[in-house]
Amino acid sequence: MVNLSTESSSKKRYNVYYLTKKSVREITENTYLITFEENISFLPGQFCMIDVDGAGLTRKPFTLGKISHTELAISVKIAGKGSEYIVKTNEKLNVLAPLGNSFVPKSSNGTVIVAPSCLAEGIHLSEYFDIPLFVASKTELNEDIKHDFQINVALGNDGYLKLLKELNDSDFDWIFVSGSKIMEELAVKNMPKKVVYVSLNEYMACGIGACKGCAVETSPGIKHVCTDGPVFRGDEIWQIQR
Amino acid sequence: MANSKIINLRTPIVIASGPGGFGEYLNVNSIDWSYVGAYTLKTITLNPKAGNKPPRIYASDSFMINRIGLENPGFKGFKEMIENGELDILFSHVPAILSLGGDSFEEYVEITRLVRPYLDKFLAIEYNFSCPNVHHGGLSIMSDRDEWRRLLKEIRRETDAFIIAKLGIESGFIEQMAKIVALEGWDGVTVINTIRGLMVNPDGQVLLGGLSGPTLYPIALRAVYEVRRTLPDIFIIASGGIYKPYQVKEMLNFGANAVSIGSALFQNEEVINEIGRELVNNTNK
Repeated sequence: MVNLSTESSSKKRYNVYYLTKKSVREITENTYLITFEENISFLPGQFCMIDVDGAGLTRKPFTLGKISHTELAISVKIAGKGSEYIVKTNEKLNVLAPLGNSFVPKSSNGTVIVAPSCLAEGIHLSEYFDIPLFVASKTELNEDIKHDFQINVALGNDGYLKLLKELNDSDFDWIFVSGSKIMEELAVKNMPKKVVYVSLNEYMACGIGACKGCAVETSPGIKHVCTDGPVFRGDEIWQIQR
Repeated sequence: MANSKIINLRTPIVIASGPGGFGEYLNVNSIDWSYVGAYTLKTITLNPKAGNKPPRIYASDSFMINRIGLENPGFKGFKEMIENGELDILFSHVPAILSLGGDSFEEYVEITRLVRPYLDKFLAIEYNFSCPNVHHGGLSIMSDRDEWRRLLKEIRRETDAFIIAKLGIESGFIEQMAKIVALEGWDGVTVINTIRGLMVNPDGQVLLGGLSGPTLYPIALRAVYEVRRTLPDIFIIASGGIYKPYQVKEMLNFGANAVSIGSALFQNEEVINEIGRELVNNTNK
């Protein structure tokens, strides 16, 4: 299963939305959950590109999420001026969406692990497929966030590796992982018994397949995160010994 | 040197070859295509190219570096795209310019012959002589001045199309390069292309690629100025670091016939509307 989408990329239309922030909550240090007044139509796994009003030369990509099946949300880790603008501005955000393919697993017997920077996507997948949500974080999550979204936290490197070991021996058919490259690679290599899906976050410029900048090497050859992904099977990205 | 061909663009705004891909921006619903004079396709080479290994792109606050490596489906893939109607949406909204490149003298000539049946769909052909990403093409063709000149002559002999040479600044003074292009009977030049640069991304990976973005603007403006001073009649597409309406006006004032929007699309593709509106308002005043 190379392409996880049921859609044809040639028929895609991308819309620009002007979104009003409803709430900005701190998930953990430097990382925020932003919800919006407006809604947009998208499917699990898809992402958006947000204009940073001159605080960078490219729109910045974020996985899309929904809370309680209704409230549009993204999570943002402040990593530079662009992401800082997105968190701090009170202006409407200019958002190009929905981008990429939807994630369509073969069964609903899976689970999802995200970094705090992908929490919105994690909450969405957890609610959409009615599956448990794990957050792997270097620092403790704020109590109200943990409580509100019934999050299981794997804290630090040891906590994360312990979680991966447990999930590798679990009955889940698949594990969806969205976070840093290192986090995703660890998941793929430490859960050889499972089908691991990873949502890749290669540097992007256009987000729509024009520039060919977000190339990744996969076992079938070069793919592009924005049009072939962003979700890939982990064993297409990293070799594992089963 | 004189030639009688003219190209009438409905507006002086051109989408640059590369950032615009093969018309993907037509899928973005917010762009008013009536503001665009021409959409230049990504460079097609005789044989398909998989492009460079990742990472391919990274940006700072004022410039970006890409090393895409001319990823393209080759002539056969291009032919299929046209025959399958994949470019029809593009053709129905905006005039198109074809971009051709090659790894050798022979490849440039061959692809020039092969695209002949499809030229009714294009306003012009832009030849990519300066993409610094490909080891055996791009710069190497221009670095042997005699061979490049023979190539210009040969391409001119092979096609009646409106032909434009895209020139970088690393093969000598650009006005001298443009003079050679004009002497061989070509119709236009696009100045400038990306310049070789190096940057390190947050993962510590070194990107050796082509530098683009706002940093290029004054270099491109000087290039347009020099080429126009040397060649009063050649058609000039200005390209390099154009992000703002005032820069478009400046380029046109210094002698460009059209301006090319490239990396600015990545900041927000609505830059086309912003520039277009300003140009229209300016014209109507």
